[in-house]
This record gives sequence, C-alpha cells and structure tokens, in this order.
Amino acid sequence: MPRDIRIILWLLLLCGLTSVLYFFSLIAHVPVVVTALVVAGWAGASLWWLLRKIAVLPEAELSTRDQLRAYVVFAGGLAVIVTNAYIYTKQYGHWDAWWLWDYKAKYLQGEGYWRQLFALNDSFHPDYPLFLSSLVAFVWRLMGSYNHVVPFTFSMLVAVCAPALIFLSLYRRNLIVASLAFLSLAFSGVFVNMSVALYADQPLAFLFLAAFVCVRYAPTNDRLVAITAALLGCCIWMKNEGMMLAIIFTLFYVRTLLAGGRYKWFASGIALPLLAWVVLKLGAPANDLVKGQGGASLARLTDMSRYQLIGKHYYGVVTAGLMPLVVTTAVYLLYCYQTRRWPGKNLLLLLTCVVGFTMVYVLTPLDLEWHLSTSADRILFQLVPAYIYVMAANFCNVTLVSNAQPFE
Amino acid sequence: MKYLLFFCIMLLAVVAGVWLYQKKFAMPGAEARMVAALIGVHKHLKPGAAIRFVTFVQPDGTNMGNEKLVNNFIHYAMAPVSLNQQAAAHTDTTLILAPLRLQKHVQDSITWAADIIWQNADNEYYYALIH
Repeated sequence: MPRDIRIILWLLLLCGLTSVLYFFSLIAHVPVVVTALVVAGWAGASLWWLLRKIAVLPEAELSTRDQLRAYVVFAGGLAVIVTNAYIYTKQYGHWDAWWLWDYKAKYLQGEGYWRQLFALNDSFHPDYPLFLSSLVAFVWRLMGSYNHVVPFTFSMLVAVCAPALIFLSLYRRNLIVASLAFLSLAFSGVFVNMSVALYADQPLAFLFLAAFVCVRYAPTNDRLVAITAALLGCCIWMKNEGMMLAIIFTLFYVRTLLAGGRYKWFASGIALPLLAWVVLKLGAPANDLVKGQGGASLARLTDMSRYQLIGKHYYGVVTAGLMPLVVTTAVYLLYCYQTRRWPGKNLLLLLTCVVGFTMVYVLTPLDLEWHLSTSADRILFQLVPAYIYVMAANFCNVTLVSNAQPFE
Repeated sequence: MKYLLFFCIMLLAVVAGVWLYQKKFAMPGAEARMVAALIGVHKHLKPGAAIRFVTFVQPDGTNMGNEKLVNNFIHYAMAPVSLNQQAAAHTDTTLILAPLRLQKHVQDSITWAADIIWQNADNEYYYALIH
C-alpha cells in the first residue's frame, strides 16, 4: 500500500481512536490530559509503524510528465473543493449538526454532564453512536471553548481526503480514470455541501470508502486486515447504519478478513470501537426504529405502497445528482456482458447495502414520507464515494480482491 | 517523497478551507460577546435564578418566531444543564429570536441592545439567539 494512502488511513484511525478513548475516559474519570498524552503517543508510534514497518510493494510509477499532471489535477481538484466548501458552508452546519452532533458534544465536553446525554428525549436520539460528538468534545475540552471551527475542520478533512483517497489509490494505474473519478466528486456541489453540513453521513461514507481501499491490499498483509477491521469498527461507532454496512462488508469479504487465522487480526482491529458501541448501547435507551417494531412489522413488509414510495424517492435522488453513476454502471455492465466477465462482487456488495437501507425504510415506524424526505439523499450518498472508487477501479482494470472472473 | 508532497497539498487545502470559513463568519465584537454569553449560560444557572430572554420586535410591531423552534433552541442554549434543572429555573418567556444574517440595520439594533444587556449582566440575565 503506497505511503500517501497510509497517511490518510492513519488520520482516520487517529480520529477514531481519539473519539473512543475520550468516551472511555469520561466513564473512567480519566483526566483529559492523560487521554491527550495517550493519543499523542499512539499517533507518533502508529505513524512510524505504518510508514516504516509495513512493506511497500512495488507499484507502477509514472513518467515525470504524468507525475506533474497528477500534481496539477490533485491541486486543482482540491482548490475546487475548498471553493465549494466556502460557498456551501453554514456557520453552525445544517439542522442535525447543531441539534444532534454538536449538541451532544456539549454534553460530552463537560465533566459530570455526559450522563445526562442518556436522559434526553427521543428527538435527540440518545442512542446514536458518538464518533463525531466525542471527537469534537475532546478538542473543545482541550481548547476550553465551543469553537465551531473544530467540527468544521473535521468536515473539511472529510471533504478533502475522501476524493484524495480515490485519486491516490488509482492514479498510478490509470491517471485519466483516477482524475475523472476525483474531479467528479470535487465538482459535485452535492458531495461538498453534504460534507460541510457537519453531519455524520459523509464521514461514514469516507470510512466505508477507506475500508474498500484497504481491503484491496489485505490479502498480502495480515496487519491490513486489522486496519480494515478498525475502519469498519469506526463505521459502527460513527452511525447506526454503520453496523449494517460493516456486517455486509465483512460477509462479502469473509475469506479475506476471517479465514486462515485472520479472524484474530480482525478481532484486534474492531475490538475497541465495537466495545465503545456496546457500552453506549447498554447505557442508552433503545433505538426508536427498533422500539417501533412489533405486530405491524409484517404488515409493513407486505405493503407494496411502501416500496413504491421508496422507489419514487430513490428515483428522485438518482435523477437529482447520480445519473452519471447510473450511465457509467450501465456502460460497465454492457462491457462485462460483451467480454463475458463477471462484474465483480463489490458492485453486488454496494447493491446489498442499498437493499439494506430499503428494508430499514420499509420497516420504519416513523411516517415513511417524512423519513424519506429528510434522509433518503443523505443515506444513499453514504455509498457514493465507495461506488465511485469501485467503478473507477473497474475501469482502471485494477486487480481488486474480487478479481474479475469469466463466467461460463 | 512524492507522498509528502501530496500530503502537503491536502494539508494546505484543509487550512485554506478553515481560514476561509473563519473569514466568512467573522463576528464583530459585540456579536462575539453575545455568542459567548449564549454558550456560557449553564455555568451560571442555579436553582431560583431568573433567566430573561429579551424579545426582539420587528419594526412593524410583530414578533418574529416560531414557538417550537424557540423552545428547541432554549434546550440547545442551556445544554449541558439537565432538562430538570432548566425546568426548575424561573424563565421569563420573552426571547431574542433573530437570524444573525438579517439586514444590517436590524443586526445593529440587536447588537446594540445585547451590548447594553451584556454590560449590565449578572447571574440573572441572559439571552438566547437563534440562527
């Protein structure tokens, strides 16, 4: 795995570890300075380990001219992202940012106040995982203030690093395809707007994308199984749907992640964030979607009008900003049909995630129209960075873990 | 060392984004104090304390606002004090309810009024903003 990708993964894992450790330190009454020292020590040691101790396998190198082009595309794309971020950002983010994520960070920031988080009513969703809130609260506590630059900085990291990760993973194989994938996100007002909304959706999307990138290298290195597992654990700690995404991902990559003794590496990577999630769920009230299941669930499953309504909203989301992805997918599937190649399991994995989201909407006890209109676009966009990476990798003819196989 | 150059470009992008964000939302002195008062409310709240929220009335005499939104924002302003403690405190129900990006003359009126309140503030007088 190239070193530029490792740095991005290291940043993600640093944020995840900080968030988890700070949450545990609140429970154990550990002074925040101690937590800060532990995080700083881990940051240095892990960066050294990632850059030096994991072997760098040879990858295709570009000519000097192509390398310069890569720098220009990279810098230009990031400049577009920064400009879009300036245009779209609101001072305190969108509604859920100050109503949920930063609001909870205020509770987590205060020693002695954090337990009151679980006494909040359902509209504050006290059961939601705390990656974002805990991370923001930790920095606020160190700063001694509620400065909203903190959550915005994290959102800028996501807005910059997610497209960067796609580019850096693929440019050595095919600079043109990597550039197109990178610039499609950079110029996407929807992506940047969602990233700087200070919500947890795009950070989750970033973590999920990172898992796809990391697992590609996992077959040759057991340690990368642990890192992939840690990224999936961070997905779980980021949002409730992160659990569903992590389970689906693990099932599709069960041989790479769990077989042949690799389950020990997997367990070591996912342990901390999963433990934080379990502790949270033990203390928090039940999730409102879970609480609302019962006798009516079967009726919801068999009600066709619900599926129609969901399809209508999905169609609206796709036509509003995702048509290029649909066209690209259609072209790729046609190519696979013509060349008698299996499209690869990553597409099926992402489609399964969409089916999972659909079932959540089918079974929701909330008003379905309201639930869809307030979340369908954000939920589907959680898969977009990973989807762009998967499609771009297919077009680069990169050997993914799910190597294309001719079908009979 | 190519990876370091890519990393530096990313770092520069994040720093530029944050700098532009701060420039976009730079607040004049009085407004900054208003927000500071908003986020420091919980430190002063004690049983029996009176919390006054001053209503801003539009030039045509009508009140701005939406009661549910106001109540929600009171909870936000009061965090992390528990909801029980909030209920125990006596509240005067008038409230400043004005988006920060109003017309300049309206904003000036709010900041002027808030500045006076702030200068005379003690443990009993606070105000909230919605934006």
